[in-house]
Amino acid sequence: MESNFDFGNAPFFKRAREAGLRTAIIEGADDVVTRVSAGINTAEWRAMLRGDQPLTRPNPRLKPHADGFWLHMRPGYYNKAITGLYPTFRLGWLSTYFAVFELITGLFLMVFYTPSTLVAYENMLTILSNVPLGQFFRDLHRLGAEAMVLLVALHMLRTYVTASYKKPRQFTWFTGVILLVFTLGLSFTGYLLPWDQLAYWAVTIGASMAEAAPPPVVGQFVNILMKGAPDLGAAGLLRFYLLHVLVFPVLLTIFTGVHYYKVVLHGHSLPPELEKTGEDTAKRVPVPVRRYFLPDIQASEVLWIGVVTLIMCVAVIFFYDAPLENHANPQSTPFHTVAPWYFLWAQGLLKLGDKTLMGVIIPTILAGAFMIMPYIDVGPVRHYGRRRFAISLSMLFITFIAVTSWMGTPAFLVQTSLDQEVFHEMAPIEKIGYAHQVPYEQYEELVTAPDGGYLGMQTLSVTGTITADDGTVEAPYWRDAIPSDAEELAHMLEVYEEEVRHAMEVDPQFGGLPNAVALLHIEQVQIDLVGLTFEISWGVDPNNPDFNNSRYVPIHHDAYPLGGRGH
Amino acid sequence: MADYIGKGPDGEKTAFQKFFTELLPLEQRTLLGTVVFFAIILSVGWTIINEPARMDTFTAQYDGRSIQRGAAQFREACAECHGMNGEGVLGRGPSLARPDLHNGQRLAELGWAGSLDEYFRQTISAGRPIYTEELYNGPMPAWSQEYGGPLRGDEVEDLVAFVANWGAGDLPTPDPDLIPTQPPAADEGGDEELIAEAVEIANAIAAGELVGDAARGETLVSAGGVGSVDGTALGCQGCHVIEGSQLIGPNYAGIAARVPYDDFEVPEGVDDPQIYYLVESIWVPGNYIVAGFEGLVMPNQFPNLLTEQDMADIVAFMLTLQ
Repeated sequence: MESNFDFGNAPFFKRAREAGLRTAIIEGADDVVTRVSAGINTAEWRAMLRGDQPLTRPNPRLKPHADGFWLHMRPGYYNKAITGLYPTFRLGWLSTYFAVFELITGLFLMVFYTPSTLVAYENMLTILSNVPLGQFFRDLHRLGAEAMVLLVALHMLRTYVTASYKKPRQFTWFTGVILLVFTLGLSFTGYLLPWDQLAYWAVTIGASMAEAAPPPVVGQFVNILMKGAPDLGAAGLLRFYLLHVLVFPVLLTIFTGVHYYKVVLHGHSLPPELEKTGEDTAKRVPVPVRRYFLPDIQASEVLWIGVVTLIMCVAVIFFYDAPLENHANPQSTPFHTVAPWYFLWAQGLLKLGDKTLMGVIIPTILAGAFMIMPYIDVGPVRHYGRRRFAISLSMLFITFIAVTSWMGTPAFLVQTSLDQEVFHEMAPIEKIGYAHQVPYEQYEELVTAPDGGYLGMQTLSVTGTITADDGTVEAPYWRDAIPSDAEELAHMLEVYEEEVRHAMEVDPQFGGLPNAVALLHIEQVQIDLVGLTFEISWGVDPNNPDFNNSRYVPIHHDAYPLGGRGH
Repeated sequence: MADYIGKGPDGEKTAFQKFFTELLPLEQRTLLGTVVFFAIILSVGWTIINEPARMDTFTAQYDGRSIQRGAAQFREACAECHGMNGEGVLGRGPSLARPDLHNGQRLAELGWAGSLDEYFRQTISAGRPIYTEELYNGPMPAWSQEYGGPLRGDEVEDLVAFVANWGAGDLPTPDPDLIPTQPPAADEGGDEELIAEAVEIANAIAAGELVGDAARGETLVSAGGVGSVDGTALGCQGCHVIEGSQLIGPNYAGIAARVPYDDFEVPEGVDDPQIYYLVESIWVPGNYIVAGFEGLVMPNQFPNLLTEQDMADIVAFMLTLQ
C-alpha cells in the first residue's frame, strides 16, 4: 500500500525498530537540543558546563555564532587580555542588560498605568498600595534607569580613556553617542509619567530648552510638537508616554544592534600594546589567547547580571524608594525645583545666560563634538600616558559637568527670602523636612494636660522667651518648655533656632531677617492630627516688625515615616 | 602575551592585579552564579511575603497624608465660612465638627441614602445651589473642577478625608453657641419684628442711650475691618465705598444728608427718621431699596453679626458723612 504519509517509516520509528525505543528517545532528544541551540548537542552541553574542552573538531561551540540568531551578533571568541574585569569593567554588557531590565520592569508597570492626567497619579497610588510587588518593581525601574544613565556614561568614559574609538571603530563610537542620547531620552520621558509635582516641574525645566531652539518659529514648533500644547498637560503626557514606551525603545534596540554588530565586525579593542591602531583584530586572535564565548564569556556575563540584579534587589528592599510627591499642579511651582540629576548641568548653564545659547546651542555643540570626535582625533597613539591633551580634555569636561551640575542646584544663584528657606528646611511642601521627622506623640504631648485634657494652642519661641507688658509669658523659649525625653522635637527646634539665627545675621537685601522673632504654634486640630504653624516676624526696627510670614503644617499620626518599608 | 597591567616586584601578578585581570575558574563562577540566583529568589520571595503588610502601611500613611493635605486646604478655602476648627461661622456656614453630622442624625433628617463620605464628597464637589437664606448669606459654591470649581478630584478627596476625620474623635470641642442648626430668633418674626427692633435701636441712639463711636464704626465697615460677633469681616466694602466709582451698592458719601427720601416710609414711633433710615438699611435691608438698585439684594444676616453697640458705632460713623 502506498501513502504519502508513511507514519511507520518515520525516522524515529525506524530507529526504534532498529535500536530499541530507549535509544531512539535519547537520540531524538539529543537532536531537539542540537536544533534549538543551533548546533550544540547534549554531550557538548555537558562538557561546557563541566569546563571541559570541546569534544569534537571543528569546535561545535562556534556553530551558534554562525547559525543562530542571538549569538550571531556576538564574537565567537575573545582575546584573553580583555576577559577580566579590567579593562572593560563589563560596562557595555551591563548597559545592554539594564535596557532589558528596564524593559521587563517597565512592562510590569505598564499593566497598571494609563497615560492620562486624570488617572496617572491615581495609578501610581494603586501600584504602591494595591499591587503586590508594585513598589518593588517601580523602585527597580526607577533605580535601574538612573543606573543605566550612569553605566552608559561610564562606558563612554572608559572607551575614551582607552582610546577604543580610534580607527577602525569610529562608527561604533558614533552609534554609542546616539545610544547615550536615547538613554537620556528614555530616562527623561519616563520621569514625567508619575505625574507628580517632582515629575511635572523637573520635566518642565528640561523641556523648556526645546522651546528655545532657534529661530523662535522652530522653537515654538518643537515645543508644540513635543508637548501638544504650550504647557505640559494631557497631550504632553501621552506624547511622553509614547516616546517612552515605543519610540525610544525601538530606536534603542535598532542602534544597539548596529553597535553590537560593529563589535563582531571589528573585534574588541585590545590594550594598546597588543593592537596597532587602524587594524581590526576580529579574526586575528591567536589560538593560545582565545577565550571562547561559549561557555566562558557567557558564564561570566550571566554571573555579572546575576550579581547586578541581586545588588538592585537588595538596594530597593533596604535602601531605596522611588520618590512620589503630590499630584502635579501647574498652578503651584514647588520651592527649589530642579531637573533630574543628569540634566542638572543644563539647568546650571541656563542660569548663566541666554536660553537659546545655553540651553540649545551649547548642548547641541557638545553632542555634535562627541559624535565627530573619532574622526578628528586621528592620531595613532592609544596609550593614555601618551595622550596627555586628550586625557586632560576629558578631565576638564568632567570638571565642567560637575561644576555646572552644582550650579544647577538651588545652592547657586537662587535668591530667596530666608523666611521661605527656613520654612522649606523645616517643612517643605513636597518633601520630608525636620518637622515631619518628629514622632507625632511628641507634638501631642505638648498640647495635652496631665489628666488627658486638651490644653489649647501652645506657642514656643526659638528666639528667646516672649513676655507681655504685664510680665506674663506669651511664648516660652523652647528649651524651657519641652519634655526632656522629646529628643527629635528638641533636634527640630534646635535646627529651627539655628536657621533663624543664621538668617538674622544676613543683610536684609540678601533676604536676611533682622530682629527676627520665630515661633512655633502647636494645636490639636482633630484626633490624631496636630497643626503646626511656623511663624517669623522681622524688621529693621526691633520694636516694630514690618514683616510676618507663617506656614501651616498639619501632621497626622499615621503619615510618617514615608515609604512602605519604614524608610 | 604581554602583561599590560604590569607585574609585582617578583614578576608575579599581585592579588589585586589578578582580581582585575583574570577570571575565576568556570566551575567557581557557575557556583557563584547559582548562589546569586537563589539569593535573588530569596530576596524577591521575602519581599512578596512582606507585601500585604507593606501595602497596608502605605495605605495608612497615604490616608494620614491625605488628611494633612485636606487640613491645609481647609484653612485656605473653607475656614472663612466653616471656622478655623470647623466650628462654623454664624451667618456664613454651619459647623462641620458637630456630632449630629457625623453620627448619622443629620443625614437621617435630610433623608440622604448614601454614605457620609459620599455626602461630603457631593456637597464639596457640587456645592449647594439652594441655600437656607435665613441662616446663611450665600450658597455653598461648587469646588470640584468637574462642576466648574477650582479643585482636582484628589484634592476633593483630601477634604473629604479631613472633614470625615472629625467623626473619628471629639477633639477639639466646638463652641455650641456657634453651631447654627436652628434659625436665629431674630429672623423668625419676619420683617415686622425686625422693623420693630430697628425702631427700638434707632430711638435708643437718638435718645443718647446708645452712644456710638464713629472711629470704631469706620473700622467695622471698611476693608480689613472685623465684625464683633465672630471676628470675621462684615464685607461692607465689597459693595459700598465712601466715594469714587460706585460698586454694587450706593456710595456712602453724603448719606447723612441724603435721608429721608421722599418715598421712604417712616414707621410710627420713630424719633429721628435719619437715624432710623441708617439702622433699617442694615437691620432690614430688603424693606426699602434705593431707586436704581432694585434686584441687587444686600445680605440680610447682619442682625446675627452685629450687636446694638456695633449699630450705634456704624450710625455714628455714617452721620459724619455729610
